[in-house]
Amino acid sequence: MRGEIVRFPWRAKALSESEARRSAEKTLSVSREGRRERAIELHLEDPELLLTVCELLHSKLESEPPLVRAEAEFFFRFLERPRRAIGSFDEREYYLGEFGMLAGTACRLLALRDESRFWFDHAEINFVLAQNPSAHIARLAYQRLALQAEEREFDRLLEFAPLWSATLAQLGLEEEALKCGFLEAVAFKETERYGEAKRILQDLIDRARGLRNEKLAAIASENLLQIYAFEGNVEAATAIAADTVPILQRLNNRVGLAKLQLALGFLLRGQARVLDAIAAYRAAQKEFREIGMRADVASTHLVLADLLLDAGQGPQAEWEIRAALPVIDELKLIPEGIAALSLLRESLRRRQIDRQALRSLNGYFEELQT
Amino acid sequence: MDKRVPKDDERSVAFSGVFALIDSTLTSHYNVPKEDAAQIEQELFKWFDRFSRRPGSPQSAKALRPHLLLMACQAGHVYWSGRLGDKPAEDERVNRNLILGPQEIAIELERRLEDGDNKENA
Repeated sequence: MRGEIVRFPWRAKALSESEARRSAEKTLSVSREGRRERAIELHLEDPELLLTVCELLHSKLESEPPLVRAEAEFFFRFLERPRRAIGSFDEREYYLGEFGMLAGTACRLLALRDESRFWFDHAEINFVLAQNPSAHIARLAYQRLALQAEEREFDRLLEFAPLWSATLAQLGLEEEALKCGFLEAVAFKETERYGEAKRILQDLIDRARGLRNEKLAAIASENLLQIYAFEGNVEAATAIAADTVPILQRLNNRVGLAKLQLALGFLLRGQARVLDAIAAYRAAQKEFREIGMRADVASTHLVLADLLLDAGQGPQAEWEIRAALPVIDELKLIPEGIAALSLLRESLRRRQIDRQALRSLNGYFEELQT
Repeated sequence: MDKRVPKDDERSVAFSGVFALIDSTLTSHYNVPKEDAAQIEQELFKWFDRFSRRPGSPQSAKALRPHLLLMACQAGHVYWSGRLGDKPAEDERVNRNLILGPQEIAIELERRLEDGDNKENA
């Protein structure tokens, strides 16, 4: 057996990482309509380029989910038909799986849940044919758990998140294992078991920092902040915000920043600082709107409506509710939301604001902010 | 995406550790002619470089090694399957390996490597 380090013989010919990145960025700057015709010029079938495109799209999930959705769908369909020979061995199946999972993840962030499941199914079909399928199926399992969290299936989540966390750790996928722990904490938070949620989140923050995973530590911190805000613990919440905002800004994690802004709104509301709370909610809403997260824009309208009713501004509150209704209706988020919506619609039809109906719907949306 | 992709060193260590074994897997275990084996090895090198940078791929050289071995065996298996169709191979060893399948052969080879590792560490 040779003991020396063997140099990679193709290195001289292959693109360097920066060259591949430039090439991928150029490809993404070309409109999708005209891209197929320029497939050869843009090296769209080059596996090195595809790997870099995947990496770029992953990095944009938290800042530009509509773009990631469109690009991942484009590349998936491009590789799918006509059937193209991509790279060597399992690479076609792997990239189909990866683009399918990217499209599904982006759809999940955009609250397009049926589409998300559609793409996860596509990803699974291809990942099972790729090398190391157990790792990819496990990564996909995390995405499906995250979808369950958004659909408020907390009993299932509490059953399966710890099991998947253990499995992922066994597969050496530490980041995904931690993320499953994070979903377990979310389930505890949403069912108001704050003590358990805080314990898990703090543990996650420590472990994520140990792995130098700033992103995960920041997201866990943002959730911990939410709990402190609900509990009215101003000191703890403020300290976390001071630590976390610069990290989320540096990572360009706009989803995390918007959610953190929303949590600050709850904190300010708890201190009866109505105008400051409204400003925080509006800032969160603006961010959600800019990154295409329409469900979150709608939920923030309802949060604002509840606050405005408390402040005695009924007509303004009604405007907020009406602004939210088309999106709620279109996205058909979950049955409880639809039931609460029908109550609210009825109260609006009678030109009355049924505060109980509003609170029910509002509570549902508050719980969606995960 | 998991940014903790293995560094070039890890990939090179994984590769150098099994370089001779991959060559002998293809040329001896699967009796692939030298020229074709060299071409398959080049493809394996390129594939493995990208494989090790995929999210979800193992980080250490030791954990990467079985994936490279398995793909080498699959390459040898596909090489003959395409040529032989339903006919058995003339070479008994190739025949045995085709019947057992690439997964089984890769496990055998990995065990052999592990025994070597253990002896070195003893």
